[in-house]
Amino acid sequence: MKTLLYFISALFVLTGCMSSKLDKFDDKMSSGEYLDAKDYALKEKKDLLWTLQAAAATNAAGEYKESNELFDKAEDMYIAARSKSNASDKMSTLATVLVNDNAVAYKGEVYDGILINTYKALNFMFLQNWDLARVELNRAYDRQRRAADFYAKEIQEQEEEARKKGFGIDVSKVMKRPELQRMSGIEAYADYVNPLVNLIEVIYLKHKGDIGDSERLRQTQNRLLAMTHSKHLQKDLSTQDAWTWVLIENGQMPRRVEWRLDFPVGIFSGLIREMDNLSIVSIAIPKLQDIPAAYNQFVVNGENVDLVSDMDKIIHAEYSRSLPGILTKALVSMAIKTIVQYQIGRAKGHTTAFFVGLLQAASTQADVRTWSAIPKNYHLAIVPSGTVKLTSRGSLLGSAETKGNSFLFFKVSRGGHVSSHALVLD
Amino acid sequence: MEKCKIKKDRKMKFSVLVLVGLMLASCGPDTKNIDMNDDRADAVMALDHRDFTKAADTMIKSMLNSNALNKADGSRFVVALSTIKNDTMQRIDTSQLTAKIRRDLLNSGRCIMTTAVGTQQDALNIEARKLRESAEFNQETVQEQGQLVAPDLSLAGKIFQRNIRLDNGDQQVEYYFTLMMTDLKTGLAIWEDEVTMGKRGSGKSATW
Repeated sequence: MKTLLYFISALFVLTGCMSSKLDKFDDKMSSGEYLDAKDYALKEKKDLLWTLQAAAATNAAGEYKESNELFDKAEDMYIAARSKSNASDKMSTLATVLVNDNAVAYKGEVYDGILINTYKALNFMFLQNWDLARVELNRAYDRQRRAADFYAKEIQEQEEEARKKGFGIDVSKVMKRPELQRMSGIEAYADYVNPLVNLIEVIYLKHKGDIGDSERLRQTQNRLLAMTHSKHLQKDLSTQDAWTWVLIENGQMPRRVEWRLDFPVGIFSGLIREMDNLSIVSIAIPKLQDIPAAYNQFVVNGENVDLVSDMDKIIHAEYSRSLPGILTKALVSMAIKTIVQYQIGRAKGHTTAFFVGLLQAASTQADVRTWSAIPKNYHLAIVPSGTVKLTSRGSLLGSAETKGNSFLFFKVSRGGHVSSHALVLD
Repeated sequence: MEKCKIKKDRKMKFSVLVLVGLMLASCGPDTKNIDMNDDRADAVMALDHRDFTKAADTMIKSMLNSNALNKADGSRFVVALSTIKNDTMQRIDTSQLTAKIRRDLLNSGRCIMTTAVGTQQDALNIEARKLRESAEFNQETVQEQGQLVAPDLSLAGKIFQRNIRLDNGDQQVEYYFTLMMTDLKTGLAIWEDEVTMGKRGSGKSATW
């Protein structure tokens, strides 16, 4: 029993205070101190989460080579974490059940994987390494294809794991609660697609593809148009003129905050004798909190931009799909901790049980980790090359000179800091 | 006395830790040399040297068995290597494929490869001609103008990857190696072939 207590305490200490660390990183990103944000992330644990944060901050700083080195490391970690499911990894399951999700390594979200390859493609484009940009775009496309299968399998695995432990948790019953209902069934774009991938692919194929890519370009462009209804994409881009594709990366994605929920014990369909004297049980799960952006509307050279990828929506949709899995895990964890507390009380007396109870309360924490450097949304404008001015509500946010067919990337941080990088596509 | 015992205990714990560390460190797999011509290790979902060798061998055989390299006057064609497009999810150095093809074609004696133009050039072709302006070089030994031979044929290709999810959750990866020989005078393709390779494995992870 002593060993178990040490184990729980050790894992709890490791959990740390993630939220404030993310706040510090986000503040640096918000004020445009991208290199400071990178340094801050690199001083943290060398895990997937902080490597992703460092890679994104380095990209924002325009250090594309270093950014891709970090993204490569992050992708290796992402692949390693995803090649085994949580349910089949016994140590992770034990740690999750006895403490909380924070005790196991961050394994990334489905949209994280898609964005890793999309940003690598962007970095390679800025480095003018067109061959490797194509490879990364192919990877991003494959990740989107694989995403659709992911959640169905993950939820099924977690339900099976709960059954193996002797609990039959009817998640659909739990999901009927009005506050949870509001968060379920949210859809973004069809089949987990992020239109940003299609947009980068269109820009790439249009300017760096060959004659053999024309059918792929036509299909990708049609798909992108169907998802975004972008007016800029419908422009007749005459080859006589030079055009600038302006992509605006804006704001910050939703952060995860802790949410405590009370349930009646009746949700457990299996008979759990140890919980007979309880009427209500509590769990802590993460909930999304949208972060307002400094600017919501943009104008480029007098033309309104088109919203091409709504990350807020994508993240809400992914959360909605993963909610049954998050709930199942939290309920199983809560049930096991309650049983352990009850058994300790019987074997070792009430004082020990009291301390175990304290540990249980303290260890019931929601996993609020998230790759917070992801923006809130992406906007597109296609304008004739030359002086390109980005404005919002009448004020000039930034401008750049482009020559020939170009790609101009504006980053507008949560706090309104604007930076830009241009790339010649000819 | 008590202090001494604690010290001894700490020393003991430290020794045990070091010993465990050393044992763990020595537990890694041994490094082995592999026979590149007869590598029987398990297949991988990505492309490895065995796949490139197999694809190149099949393509060369097909090319040499065709009449594409038979010149009417009995002389040999000059072939330039064009682009081999990597349209996969792997970071492939396509020269892995083309180096073997170039070598085997040269060794067949049926054609000559040029390194003056194309994607696999020898930079000295141009560099050596810059010596024309240098007083340090005996100008009689410097290449004269108009000596480089233009290619008759161009060899281009593509490696394409397609991933398919199977009903049991596994995935199938198909690789298509395509090569095409073009007569540069007419722009007509005189030979083309495709080698496909299929791999089936776990669907849990990415294929790269």
